[in-house]
Amino acid sequence: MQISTQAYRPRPTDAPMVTRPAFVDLATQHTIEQFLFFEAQLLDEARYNDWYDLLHEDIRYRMPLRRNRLHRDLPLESTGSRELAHYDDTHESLAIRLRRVQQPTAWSDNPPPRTARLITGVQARVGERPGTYDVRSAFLLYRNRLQDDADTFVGHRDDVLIDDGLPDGEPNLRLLARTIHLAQSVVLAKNLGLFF
Amino acid sequence: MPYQDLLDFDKVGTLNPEVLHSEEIYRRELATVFARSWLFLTHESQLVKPGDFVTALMGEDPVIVTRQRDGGLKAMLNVCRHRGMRVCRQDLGNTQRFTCSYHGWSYNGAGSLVDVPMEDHAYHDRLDKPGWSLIQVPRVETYHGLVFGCWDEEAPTLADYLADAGPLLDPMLTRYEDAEFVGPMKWRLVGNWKLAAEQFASDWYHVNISHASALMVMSPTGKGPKTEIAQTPGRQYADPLGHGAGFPTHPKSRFDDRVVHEHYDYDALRERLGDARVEGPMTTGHATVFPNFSANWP
Repeated sequence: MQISTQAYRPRPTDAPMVTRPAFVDLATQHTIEQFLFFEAQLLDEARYNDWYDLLHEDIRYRMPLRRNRLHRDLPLESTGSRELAHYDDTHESLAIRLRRVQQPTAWSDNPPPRTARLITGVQARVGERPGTYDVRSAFLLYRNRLQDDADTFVGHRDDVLIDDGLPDGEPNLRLLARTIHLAQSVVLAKNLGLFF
Repeated sequence: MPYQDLLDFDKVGTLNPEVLHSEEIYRRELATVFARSWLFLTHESQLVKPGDFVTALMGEDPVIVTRQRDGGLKAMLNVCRHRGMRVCRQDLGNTQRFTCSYHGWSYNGAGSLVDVPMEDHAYHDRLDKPGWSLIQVPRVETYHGLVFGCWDEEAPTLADYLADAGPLLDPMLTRYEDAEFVGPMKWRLVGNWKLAAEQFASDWYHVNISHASALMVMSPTGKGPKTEIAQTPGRQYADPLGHGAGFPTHPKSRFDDRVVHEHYDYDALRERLGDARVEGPMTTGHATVFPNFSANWP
C-alpha cells in the first residue's frame, strides 16, 4: 500500500510490495552464524592471533565516521570509502594493532577489559564475487574495565565473507571485508581500542 | 578561592587538585578564560562554498560557522532569539536558511532574521527583525586556514595572540603546500578540559612510557626503537599567554619505523623548511594554543 514516497530512501509510486532478499539456505546460514559467533568468542577471550587466522589477506576493515546530517543528505551521513574513518585497516595494519594490544605495556589493556559481544540479526546473501557472502549483522558490545569503567557499543556490520573451501569439501570461511557502523556520531567511550 | 592560592610555586610547584574538580572554578573559567580567549572553530577547507557551515562549541556555547556569499566567514550563537532552541542541529552541510524547529523563526547564512511565521498576527508586524538576528561572535580570524573565534572585542588580534606560538604550529600547518583538513572526528573526553590541554602543552617526558606498546611494534625490529632514537632529547616550550608545546629534537622522532616515515620526503622538507625546523621544533610534536586547541603531528 502506498502511503509515502519514502522521500529519502526513494520508492517509486508504482513500486511493487517489498520482498525479502534471497537469503542463503539454512545450512549456509548456520555455517555463517557459527563463524560470526566463534569470531566473537575469540575476541572476547583475547585470542587475537586465533582471530587473525580468520582474516583474509586482502581484508579491508573500516569504521566510518557518522555525522548528523539532514534527511536529504543521508547518503553523506557516513564517511565514504576514501574518506576519514575511525578505522581503515589492512591485513598488515591490523597485525600491528594486534601485536600492540598484546604488549604488557599496552596500558589500556593491562589489566584487560571484560567484553561481551551479542551478535544477532544475521542476514546473509550470496555475494557478487564467486565464493563470497554479503552478511549483515547487528552487534551489542559491552566493555567493562577496572572497577567501574563501562562502555556499550551498538551498531551493525556489513561483512563480506569468502569461502575458499577445505580439501575435504568443508567450508572455510574467512573475513574479506568488514564495515562497522557504530550508532554514535560523537564517540562517547574514552577509546575505541578494541576490535569489532 | 583566588587562582594564586591554588598554586604553590614557592615550594615544589604543587597544584591544588581542586583545579581539576571544582565546579565553581570551572564556572569561573567559562567567563574568565573561554569568554575572553581565541577559540578554535574549524578549518577553512571545511567551508568551501557560500552556504557551507559547520557547528562547533566555544566553551559550552554552541555556534554555527558559515561561509558568506562575499567569501568571508561568520560565526554566530546557535540559539534562536525567540525561545532559545538550537536553530541548526546538523554537524555540517550547506544551506541558505537556519530554521528553528520550534516556532519556525528563520535566519539566513549571515544570521539575519528573515522570516517569522504569522508575523502579522503574532507581532502585529511590529517586530524589529534586524534586532533579533542571531548573536554574532564579534571576532572571527584565521591563521594558516585555522578558524578561531573570540567573544572579547578587547582581545588582541589572532596574529598577536599567536605571535610566539605560531612558529611551533607552522611546521604542521605548512608541511604540505596544499593541505585539506578532513573530518571532523568527534570524541568526548570525560574530565576537566585542562587535563588534555596541559598534556599537549608540554610533557615530552611521558612518551617512552605511555606509548611504549606503540613504540615497540612500530619499530623496524618489532622490539623497540634504537637506543639513540628512544633517548633523543625532547624540548618543551611555554608561552606567557598559556600556549605550550613538546617536541623531539631528532628528525625521526621516536617512531623510527619505515611505515611512519616513508611518506615524508625529508630532503624536500629540509629544502623548504630548512634544517633547523626539520631537526628543531619541528615536523613532529604536539602543542596547545591556550586555552584548549591542541594539535599533534606525528
